[in-house]
Amino acid sequence: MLKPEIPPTQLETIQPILDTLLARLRVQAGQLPPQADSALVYLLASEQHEDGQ
Amino acid sequence: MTILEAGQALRSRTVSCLELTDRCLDHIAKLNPRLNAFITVTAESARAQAQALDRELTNSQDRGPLHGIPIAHKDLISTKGIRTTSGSKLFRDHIPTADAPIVEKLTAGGAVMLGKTGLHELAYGITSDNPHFGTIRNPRDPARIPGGSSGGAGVAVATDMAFLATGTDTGGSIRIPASFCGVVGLKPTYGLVDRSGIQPLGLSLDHIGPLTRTVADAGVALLAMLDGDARLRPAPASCQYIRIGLPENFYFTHVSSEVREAVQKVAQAAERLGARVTPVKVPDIDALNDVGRVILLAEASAVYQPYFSRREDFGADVLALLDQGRLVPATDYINAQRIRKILVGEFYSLFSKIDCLLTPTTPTTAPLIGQKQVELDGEMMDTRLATTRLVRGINVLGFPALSMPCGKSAQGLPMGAQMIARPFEERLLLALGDALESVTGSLQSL
Repeated sequence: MLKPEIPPTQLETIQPILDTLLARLRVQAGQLPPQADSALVYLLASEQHEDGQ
Repeated sequence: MTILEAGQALRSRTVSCLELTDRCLDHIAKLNPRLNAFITVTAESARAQAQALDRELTNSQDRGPLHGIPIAHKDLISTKGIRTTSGSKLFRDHIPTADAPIVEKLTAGGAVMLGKTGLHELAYGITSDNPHFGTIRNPRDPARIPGGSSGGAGVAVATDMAFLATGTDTGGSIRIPASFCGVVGLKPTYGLVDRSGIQPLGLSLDHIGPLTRTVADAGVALLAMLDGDARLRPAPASCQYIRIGLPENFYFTHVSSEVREAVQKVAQAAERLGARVTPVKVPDIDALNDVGRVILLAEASAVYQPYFSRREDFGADVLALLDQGRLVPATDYINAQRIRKILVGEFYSLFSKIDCLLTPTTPTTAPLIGQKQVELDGEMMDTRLATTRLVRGINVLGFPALSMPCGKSAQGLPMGAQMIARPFEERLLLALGDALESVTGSLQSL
């Protein structure tokens, strides 16, 4: 349970928007190769990209 | 007057730093009550700073191209001893004890700080219709939004209240107000400009950059924001060496016909300058935007988690986004970052064939204040999602992007063209933009 709770009226409004967004993301995620790593690795290693690697 | 023109006038002694500052303060006094671009005006310290800089010039001490140039900082950038609200009730009385490094650099470069510009609450939105500090209005039509989140910055530069305003861009927040207000906005490569001392929003998406009247001024401002230019790649010798990609998918659909035609004219102008313009198919931008939205929802909510018990202190739109972010599972956030890496790779592949991607910045001109939806190609779209549609993805990539005016609509409202390049290719964007500006002409201030 989230604390503080999100009021039900707010949830009614935002949940469908979020569900639609996450459903689309999960379609993309379903196509990820198992070894795909995170972009945060890319950000930490941005110097490599500067060299076009 | 531009930064470069003001610099010449200062050095030829046809104007003083104090006179430039007073002119800007006069514009602020005249226009700010109606447009609400500034939250805080530091007139007294600005005049004192300008007088000190005049004395330096008299003594042949010249700090460089920003010496004596009046500027403004977005009010989420820490300024020592000067209230920094982030446009939020949470920070209404926050007075930083130190300047952010970007403030230190611009001050050391001789810039005169006029004050702090207003923004969308917490930089989390595109209207700059702020429930705590009032509505910021578009100077071209005060019934319309200036864009955001750096709305006050766009207004200040467009109306001669400041020569340069700093902005932040997490999903278009520099480029959108640049487009809607008719000024130049540069979102540099991720990490190029130090963002410490600046209130975060999307930790892996936040960028810092300038809004100015001309592309050349944006170049001056960018260099002043850096610790040297060693990371920047050199500019091409001429536009003839620049390969411009004109997207044949995504970027010209769900775009108003006026904007579409204006950007196509920019492409024709680039061809006349000798650039090679070729149609290209871009990777999946819808997926890129979805990734950007999921990452931002989660990261922003992580930043503001300590304040969730103070629900009444947030505006309704920002609270709705923060609540959505609380509901994003960690698995989705991580998968968004994994998809991000793949899309970044696809863009590197695209940019092996081109040097620059030319697109509209926003699909429309500035919407009306309070307008919830816009119609594009016969389809009604949420104003926020439509307005960020062409810019948000570039924050996911971290690539640099420049927005410059490319004409006015039949209603007299500005339109913006966006140019995107590989990381650290800001000089290429600035060279191309400057050349295009000389052909197409910049939109003059009001």
